[in-house]
Amino acid sequence: MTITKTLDGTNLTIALEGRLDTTTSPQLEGEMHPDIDSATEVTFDLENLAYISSAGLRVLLSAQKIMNKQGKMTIKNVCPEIMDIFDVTGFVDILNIEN
Amino acid sequence: MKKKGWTSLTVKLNGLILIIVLVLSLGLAVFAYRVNSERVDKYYKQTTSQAAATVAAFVDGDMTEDLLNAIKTEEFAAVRDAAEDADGDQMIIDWLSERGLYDNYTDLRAMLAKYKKNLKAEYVYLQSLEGNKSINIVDPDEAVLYTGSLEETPEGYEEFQTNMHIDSVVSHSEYGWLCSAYEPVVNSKGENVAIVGVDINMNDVMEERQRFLTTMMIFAAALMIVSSVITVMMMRRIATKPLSMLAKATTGFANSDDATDYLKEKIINLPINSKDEIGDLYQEIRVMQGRIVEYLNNLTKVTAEKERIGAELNIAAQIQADMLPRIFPPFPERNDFDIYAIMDPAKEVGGDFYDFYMLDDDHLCMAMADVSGKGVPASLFMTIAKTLIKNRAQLGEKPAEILYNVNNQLCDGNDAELFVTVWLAIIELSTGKGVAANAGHEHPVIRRKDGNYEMVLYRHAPAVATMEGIRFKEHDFQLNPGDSLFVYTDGVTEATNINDELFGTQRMLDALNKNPNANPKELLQNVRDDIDEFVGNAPQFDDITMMGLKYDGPEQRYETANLTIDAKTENLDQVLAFAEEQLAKAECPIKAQTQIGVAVEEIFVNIALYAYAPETGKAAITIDIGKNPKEAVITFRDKGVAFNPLEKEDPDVTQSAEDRQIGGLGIYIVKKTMDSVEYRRENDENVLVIHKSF
Repeated sequence: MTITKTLDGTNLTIALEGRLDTTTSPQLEGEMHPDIDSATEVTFDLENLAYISSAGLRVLLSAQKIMNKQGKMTIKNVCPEIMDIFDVTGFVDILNIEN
Repeated sequence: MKKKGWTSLTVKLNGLILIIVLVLSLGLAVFAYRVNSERVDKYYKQTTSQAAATVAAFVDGDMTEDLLNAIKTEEFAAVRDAAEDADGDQMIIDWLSERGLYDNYTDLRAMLAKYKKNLKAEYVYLQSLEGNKSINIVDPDEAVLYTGSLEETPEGYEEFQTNMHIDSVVSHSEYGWLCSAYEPVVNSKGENVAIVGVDINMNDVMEERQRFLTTMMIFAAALMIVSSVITVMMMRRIATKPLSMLAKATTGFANSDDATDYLKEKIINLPINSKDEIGDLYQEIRVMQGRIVEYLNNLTKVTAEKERIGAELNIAAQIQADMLPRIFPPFPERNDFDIYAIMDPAKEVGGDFYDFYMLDDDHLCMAMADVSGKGVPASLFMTIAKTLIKNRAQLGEKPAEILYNVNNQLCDGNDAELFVTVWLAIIELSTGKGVAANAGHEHPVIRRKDGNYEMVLYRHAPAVATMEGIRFKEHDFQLNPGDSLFVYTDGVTEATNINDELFGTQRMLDALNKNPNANPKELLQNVRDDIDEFVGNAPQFDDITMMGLKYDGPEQRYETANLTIDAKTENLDQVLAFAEEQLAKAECPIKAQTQIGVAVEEIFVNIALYAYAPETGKAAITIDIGKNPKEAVITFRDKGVAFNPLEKEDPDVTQSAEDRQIGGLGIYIVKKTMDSVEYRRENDENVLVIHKSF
C-alpha cells in the first residue's frame, strides 16, 4: 500500500493507494502518528484504495476518536465496494464521508 | 302501529262526510227558501197587478181627469196651502163643492175604499205621475187635505210619467213590506189620465218567510248532525274499523327483519266476513301472507341447499388446486432450472391445468392444458386428462405417444363431447433437448439467453378427445442455459376489458419483455399485473393459467483448488492472491470479489491470531467455484482449539466512535456480506464454510 501524507500547517491529508488490510494497517497507523496528534483537520483520500478489511476500519476508527477531541476528520472519494463495507459496519454514521 | 291522529283514515273520512252534509243541507235550505220566496212573490205580484187592473177599470176616467185638472190649478194650490195652514179640510171641500167636483172626489174615495176593503189591500190610491213629481189625487186612508199634495216620484219611476202600466214590485219601506202595482186610468177619449196604485201588505208573508228560513236552518243542522253520526258510525263499522284492524294485523306480521319470523301461525285471522272490497282485501292479504310463508320456507331450504353445494364446490376447488403442484420452488435441490406456474379459475373450479414433474433425475415433463367449457364438468374432465397424461408420462412414453393414448382413452365414452387442448413437453435437463407435442393448444413462447420472448409457431394437431385415433406430431427443440419458456392458456390472450378488446398475444409478449431477465415467478406476476391493468373492472371470463421455465443448464464447477499454508498474518497476501486467482477464472464481479477477499482475510487472520496461539499451525483453504450456478464455496480448516466465531455476539453498529468495541467487527462483516457462513467441528478440526453467489 502507498501512503501519501501532505501536512499544511495543522491540516493533514492522507491519500491511500492499494489495499488497507491486516498487513498494511500497522503501516498506516505508524505513518499517521505523530502528525495527527497536532492536526486540527484530517482528510483521508480513498480515491485509489480498492480494499479495506476490519483491520483498516480499526485504524480509521482510532483516527476518528482522536479527531473527535481536537478537530475534524473527513473521508473522501470512497469507492462503492468500500462504501458497502462502511454501510454494513455502521461506519457511515461514525465517519464524515464526503463523496 | 303508531297513532296516526289527523292523518288517519277515520278522521279524514268523517271530516269529509261532515263537510258534504253541511254543504248539502245548507244548499237545500237556501234552494227551498228561494223557490218558496219566488213563488210567493210571483203570486203576490200577480194578485196585486190584477187588483190594480180591476180598480183602474172601474174608476171613471173623465171624473178623475176633471178632478185632476182642478187640483192642478194654482188657485187650488193656494186654497190647499191655506187649508194646510188652517189645518182643516173644509176649505178644500168648499172649493171643490163650488165647482161641483166634491161629488167626484167622494165618489172616487168611496169606490177606492170599497175596493180596498174587498181586495184586503193595504193602500189603494189615485195618483198622477208627472216627471219627478207625483200628484196625489185620492187616497181613502188620507184626509181631503192630501188631495193635490206633491210627492217626489221614487227613484226609477221617472220614466212612467205618462201614467202607464207599471209591473208590480215587492219593496220594503217605512210602510213595511209591500207589493205594489200601478195601472193607468183611461178617460172616455182613451187617454191615460192617472194611475191607480194598489199596495198589498206582505209583512205577514215576510215574517212567515223568516220563520221558514229559520226552520230550514234548524232542520238542516239537525239533518247534518244526525246524518254525520249515522255515516260516521256506518263508516266505522264497514270500513275504518276493519281497515285499522287489517293494518294493525299486517304490521304484526311484517314487523321483523328476520326471514325466519314469517310463520304460518302469524298469518292474520280477523272477524271480517264482509263481501265488499275490504273483505276481498282481507282474503287477498291472507293468501299473500300464506305465499310469503311458503316462499320463505322454500327459500330457506334452497339457501341451505345452495350453501351445501357451495361448500362442496369449495372442497372441489381445493381438491383441484391441491392436484396442481403448488409448492414453489418445487425442486429446491436443483439448480439447473427454475419453474413457476399459476392458475386463477374464472369460476369456483376451472378447466385449465398445468402440471410438471420429474420423470427421472434428468427428465422434466411439463403440461399445459385447457378443457373446453367451464365449471364442474370441465374440472372433472380436467382431472381425468391430467391423471391420464401423468400416468402415461411416467410409463416412459414420448409426448406424441402419450397424447395418442390419452386421446383414445378420453374419446371412449365422452358423451359430453368435451375436449382438451394440451401442450406437453419432456425436457432432458442435462442437455436441454426437448420434445413437445401440441394438441390444439396456444403457441409456446421462448426466450433465448439475453434475447426477447418470442412466439414459436408451428402446426398444431387437433385437440385431445375430439376424435379417436389421432396421430400427434412431435416437435424437437433445444434449450440452452439461460433460455426461458412460457406456456399459457387462452385465458391470458383472451382476457377481455370493458370495451370488449382482447389482451392478445402482442400485449402478452410486451408484458413478458418488460423485464425478460425476471425469474419465472416475477415474469408470471408481470403478465398477471398487465392483464389486471388491461381488464380493469370487467369480469374474468376464463381461467388464467401460465407456466414459466427458466433453464439454467446442468451444474458446472471449476476444479477445486486447495492451499495449505502456515497460519501467519505474513502469509495473508499469498492467501488473498490464491483466492483472487480462483475467482478471476469465474469472472467474478469486482464487488463480490472484494467482499469475498475481505471475508477470506478476516477468517484467515482470525485463525492466524487465535487458533494456535501462542504456537502456530497450518490452515487449509479449499476454494470450490461453480460456473453454473455462479458461486464460490470456500472452506477453512485448522487444527487449533475448538472455536466457533459465529457464536460471538454481533457488535452494535449504531454506537458512536467513542463507544465502539474494536473486536468482532471482522466476523460481523463476513456474516453480513456472505450468503451463508457455517461452522462445524469435524475430526478435531475447526471447519468454517462460506458461500457466496455472484
